[in-house]
Amino acid sequence: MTEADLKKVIAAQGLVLRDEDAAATLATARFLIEAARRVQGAAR
Amino acid sequence: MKAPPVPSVAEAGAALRSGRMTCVGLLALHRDRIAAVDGQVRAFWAMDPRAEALAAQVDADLRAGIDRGALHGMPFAVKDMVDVAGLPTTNGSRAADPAPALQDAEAVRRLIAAGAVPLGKVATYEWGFVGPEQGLEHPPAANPWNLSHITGGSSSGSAAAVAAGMVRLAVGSDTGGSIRSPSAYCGGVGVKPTRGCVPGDGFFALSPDLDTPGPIAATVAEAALTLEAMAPGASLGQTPGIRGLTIGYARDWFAADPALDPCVLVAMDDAVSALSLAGARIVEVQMPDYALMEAVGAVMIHVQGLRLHRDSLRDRGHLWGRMATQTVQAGAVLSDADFVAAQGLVPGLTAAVDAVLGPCDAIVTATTLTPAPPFAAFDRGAVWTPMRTLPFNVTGHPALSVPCGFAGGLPVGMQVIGRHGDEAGILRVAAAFEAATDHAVITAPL
Repeated sequence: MTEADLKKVIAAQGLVLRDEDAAATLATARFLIEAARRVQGAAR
Repeated sequence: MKAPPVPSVAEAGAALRSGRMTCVGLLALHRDRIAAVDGQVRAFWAMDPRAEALAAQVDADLRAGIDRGALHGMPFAVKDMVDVAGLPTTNGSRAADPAPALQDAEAVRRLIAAGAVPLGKVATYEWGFVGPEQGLEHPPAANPWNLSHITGGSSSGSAAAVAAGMVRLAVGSDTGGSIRSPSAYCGGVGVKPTRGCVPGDGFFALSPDLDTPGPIAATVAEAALTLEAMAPGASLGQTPGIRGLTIGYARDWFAADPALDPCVLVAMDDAVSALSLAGARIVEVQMPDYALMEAVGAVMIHVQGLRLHRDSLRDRGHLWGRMATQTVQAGAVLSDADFVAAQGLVPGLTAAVDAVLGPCDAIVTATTLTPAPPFAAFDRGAVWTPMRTLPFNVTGHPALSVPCGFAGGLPVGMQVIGRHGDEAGILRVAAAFEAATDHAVITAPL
């Protein structure tokens, strides 16, 4: 996921990703994407 | 001469009942200690204006022969995510509703009914999520053992106030470790009871599936007394000593983690030796996959956190701090399907922990994998602090942290986990460990 992708995902929630928040939010988002992948894998 | 740490519940209780001290006088000791050290620790954000009147009522009660028990007259602090009547619940955020709470949270009401005196509101991370962040309405609390280090959170002020000797008892809440990790970092005893044990009415939610109110205190006995008042019957039935108990040591669950500070492993191994010398039979146990349990908890927290805060972020986001904004917004990458999948794994993971507990009376493992990091580590934003706490929010098992040693001059904690509903059992193990060691009598050098 890129910052541009994340911006769109957050905008879809009615929120705005500020440039100053982008890097840190992306780091957390990537952790959560991996967490979701792990959860979905275990759920199957 | 600086005002000393406040007396223990036992000491204060004896003084109150013998007439050597009044509750109003005891309250003054707390205020003196706060005045002496809180400028450095920054635990307290607001004082409860009812405290003097309640203390005077305690004195009148005791003179009239009315004795409500061990907590009668004991001041306590309340995490600022928890309602205290007449004070706003700031949740550490400028975006919070500034109106004062109309009534006490149920757990606070129960403590007051037991005769305890609410002293004031103490620091928390913004919305309970992540911190510490500078530049918010209140500066973050500092670790009394080393003021350039964090307390951990989000029950940061609760742990700091206890560790600094400003109060013996505090109310906190724990969604992924927010009672246990600051307790470990600050050298206090923090109990996350079984989910549902303590009523959550009046506690601001972070992740309703995982949130658990509980106490932080200076000693195991004081934590047990506080828990008992918050949830009558929860800590009754403790049998002294652990001779004959079987304790599972989940060593492999943390020992190989590259983030582990070696001093934590030494402290844990020494702690387990102490448990063995106290008469327990120690067996090494294998826990379910930590990464999966952490993933389940993270998905649940972030999906529910965004649901709770989306409107506030949209409408009042300019008032939010950066760390909380970054953390909550990141949840946008998760879907409802991810949440359902995570929820679906909870019964199996719970059963897996139950299976480990089957032949054991309790499990012990590390609370956090390092001592408290320095504030400087957070200059560029939130930093992941490795711990082993979140799995027991997912499964709902009761878990506490008790001080078990030091790393680089900062406390570290041992986590004790028990069967659902067995708060008495984990308190029993912690009490025996505390009695066999000197960790409870070593205090922060403030």
